[in-house]
Amino acid sequence: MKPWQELKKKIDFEIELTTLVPPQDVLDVFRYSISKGGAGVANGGQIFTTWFFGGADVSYIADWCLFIMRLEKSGNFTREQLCQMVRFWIQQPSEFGHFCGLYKQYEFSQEIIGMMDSLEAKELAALLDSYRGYLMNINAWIYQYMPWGVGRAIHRKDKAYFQAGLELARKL
Amino acid sequence: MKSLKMRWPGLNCEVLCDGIAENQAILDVLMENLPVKALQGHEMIGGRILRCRAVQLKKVPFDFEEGELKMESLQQAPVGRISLLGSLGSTTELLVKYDDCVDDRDYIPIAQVRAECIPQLRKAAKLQWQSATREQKTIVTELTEVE
Repeated sequence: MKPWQELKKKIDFEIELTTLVPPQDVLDVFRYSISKGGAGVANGGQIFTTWFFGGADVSYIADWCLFIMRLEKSGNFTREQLCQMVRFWIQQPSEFGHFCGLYKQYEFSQEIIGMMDSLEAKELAALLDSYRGYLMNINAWIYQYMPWGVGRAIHRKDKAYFQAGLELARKL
Repeated sequence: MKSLKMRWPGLNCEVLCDGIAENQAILDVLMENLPVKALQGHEMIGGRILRCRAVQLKKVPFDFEEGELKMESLQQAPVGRISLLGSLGSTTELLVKYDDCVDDRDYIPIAQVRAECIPQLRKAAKLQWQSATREQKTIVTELTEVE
């Protein structure tokens, strides 16, 4: 088996493990509020901002993988250009995800980036397909553990609300 | 027209769904991957929609060009509409509209929950919303082919 196929198999195995059972990284950060890399510690000792930024960044990497897969399929881009897209769109948010405590996805992105210059375009697309599958599992579990109920304390406001406020202010 | 069952074992609910005239080719590929189990949650911005954010296609991946599928906004779709997001690769998202929604983005409509099953769908959806905003229970949905 070629190295890229070994890596794909490793990622696919992780997908299998995390489809119905949460990944440990997501449990650590989003269920148990643990800041493994120190994110948010110096910002009031809270985990909320790590959830807000880390969760969103990592979920969007899945979309960038799909875009690169589509661009590979189009046949309009060279292998070198596709690799550059990975460096532009995937490397940085994956690093940020690592800072936020999502370690396994970073391990995978580093391995992909480390070998992609030696791969054919279709082989890179196949790896990104698997990486995307893992990222989508992470995203599903992040949504599972985000305390969405907190939205009840941050109600949306509209024109009627502000008009009522102005009326009250005029009476003072 | 092909039919599938969407079941929530943990909620003691199930609904029957039928394929629609559009996008039968992608529904056929989804069906080739059945049975499938996926974590399901609730849409958090677009309205009253259940959402499986990671449906793993272990047998046959999607391989459709963007222009070859008929798209539909969930806002315009009827209640009970089942739609997909993502038509390339080994993972997709599956959405089920169970009531009002304002999501005007385009999705891939593939099936419709039968009219007599809408009350069951809404029962499961109410429990999903409760879970998403309070209890955070793990709710898994199972998709199987109906012979």
